[in-house]
Amino acid sequence: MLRLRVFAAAAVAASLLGGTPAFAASSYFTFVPARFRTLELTASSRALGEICLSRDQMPDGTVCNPAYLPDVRDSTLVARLYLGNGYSALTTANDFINKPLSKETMQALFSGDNVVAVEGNVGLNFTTGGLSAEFAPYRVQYVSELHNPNFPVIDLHAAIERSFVIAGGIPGGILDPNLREFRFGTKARILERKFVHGEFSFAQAGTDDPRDYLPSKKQTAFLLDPSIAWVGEKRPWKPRVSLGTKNVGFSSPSYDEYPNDVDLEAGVGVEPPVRFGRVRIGLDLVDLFRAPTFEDRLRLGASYQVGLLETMIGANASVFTFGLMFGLNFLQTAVVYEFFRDDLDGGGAETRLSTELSIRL
Amino acid sequence: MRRPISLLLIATTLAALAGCGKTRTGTIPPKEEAVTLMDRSQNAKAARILEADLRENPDDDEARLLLASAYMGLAGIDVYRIFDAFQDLLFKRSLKDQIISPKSDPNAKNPLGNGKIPTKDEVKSQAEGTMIALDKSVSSLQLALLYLDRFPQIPAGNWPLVEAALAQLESMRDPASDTFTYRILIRLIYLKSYLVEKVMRNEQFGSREWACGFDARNFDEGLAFFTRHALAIDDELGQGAAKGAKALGKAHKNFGFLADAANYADGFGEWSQGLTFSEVENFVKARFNCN
Repeated sequence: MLRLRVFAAAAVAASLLGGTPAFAASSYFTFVPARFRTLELTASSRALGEICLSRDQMPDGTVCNPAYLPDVRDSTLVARLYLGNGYSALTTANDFINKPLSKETMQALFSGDNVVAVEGNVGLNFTTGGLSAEFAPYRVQYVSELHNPNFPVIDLHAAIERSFVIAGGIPGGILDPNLREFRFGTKARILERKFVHGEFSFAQAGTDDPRDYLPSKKQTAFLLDPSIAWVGEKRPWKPRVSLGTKNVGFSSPSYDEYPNDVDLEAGVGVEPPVRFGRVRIGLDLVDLFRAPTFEDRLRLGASYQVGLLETMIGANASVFTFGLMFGLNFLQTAVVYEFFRDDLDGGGAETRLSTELSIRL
Repeated sequence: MRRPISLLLIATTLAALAGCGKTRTGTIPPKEEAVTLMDRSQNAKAARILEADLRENPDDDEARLLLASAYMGLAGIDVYRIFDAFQDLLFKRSLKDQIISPKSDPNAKNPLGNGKIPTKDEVKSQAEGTMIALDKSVSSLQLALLYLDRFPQIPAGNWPLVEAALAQLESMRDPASDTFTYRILIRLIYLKSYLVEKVMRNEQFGSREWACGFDARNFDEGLAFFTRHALAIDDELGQGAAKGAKALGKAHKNFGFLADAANYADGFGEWSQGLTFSEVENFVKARFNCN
């Protein structure tokens, strides 16, 4: 029976990653790359295919689904630094966003590597039973890709965000004893992002005013993500099911690149009993109304923890990930290897290596 | 228990590899497929796809731009290789500061001299007027080559591809500012290649040895070619600037020497009007005492 379920999970993964790419490269570059449409920019989230609702506690001790906050037993304060794919690109991205655009900046883009990509996140998270708060003063996501060496065109997306998130959850039992297997929670996010997004040719870079073809945009948002969860605590596989909505609130102004649309999400997780260690498997169904294809709705993540080491795999419509997290009492390190489909290159395969260092108190 | 988990890992990995490594044929729009092919230097295949696409959608400006770039790729022009040359023009010092009016050169304010093409009242004979106009034309071509020397050269066998690329760009219905920049760039490369291979041919251009072997027909064709593209560049600089390419507006002033050179070429054409190529060659040889 277990083997059948394992093959079923593999089939889900195959359907996620096979077939026609969901986001073919657009010469007009009108979309934000899939890997940038993420709420949690942490090694744990990335390594687990960005599952959230189906997972109780992330490997780093934080909780993504607020409905599971009542189950948290320990209080943790985590300061973390996540960096995906390179330090030098971080400076490029920062200059690009925060300093006046110049021809020299444009020129540097064409003089460098064909692909420059970086993701970074600095955050401080406090989690305790029923409550969590996170302040992320700096989160950057940047990618630029050059195409057509005969007439170079650059696709560029760069965004810098800062956010404050507070989440709370209560067990259903305090409302009604019949609801003791249910939990309720909500997460409130306040975020501010600045971004540029567009496509331009090397000829434009040399002759036109950069702000004409690459205007900088700013967005602020206040969003709520309420969720409800059921946990079969006494069942051997500890099944859990959760349903939630996201992005209830407002964004100002509204941009196509970051629509922050309200949508429905669900998650199913199990914890198969094993002799040594702890196995957790989760399947999230996200953007149930708005995702363009079935594959875009699926996220799969699994982890196996033994001792200080937690091994993670994850998959969604655009990426397959493998990660390792090693945690001492106060220090955690994580490495995530991402094998993803490059939206800007018509679905070609690319790899990224991300690292995270966190101090846990 | 360990075995099923291993199976899951392996199966998922294989699934991921299968999905990400999928080749992109059939389902990709032609323009995107062409760009991917050009990224891989498969310019001929990209050109075929774009030509077929344009037969169905002849008004697609973007496809024309891509097809022109595929032709340029086939002609052996990689923009990255000429970026260093091009950035002087567009990103750094002005052309005027470097070539037309370098501050260290006291004679550079008017590199073509103060003379203008003489009128018929100012010279004794048609031969003298023709020689003065020829002298100005040669000087202007030498100046042009001095500037164009920075650009790469395209072998004569690939010139039809350059012509085809320019034809695609010129037939665009609503070209953007960068299209004009691209056209200018192509013309500059083409001018350099043509002048070197067809007009100057060797380093003795303008010298007595060159004059004694003067080929008037070839020189006339060269001037006509130069004039056509010089005036086109002048026009495209203006159009590109009007479309928002501010740097082209600045470059327009610095490219005044191209228009001047075209005027000298016109002057030579006017003075030599009515003369046969042999008569012009004889004037030149007499002037330089070639006999």
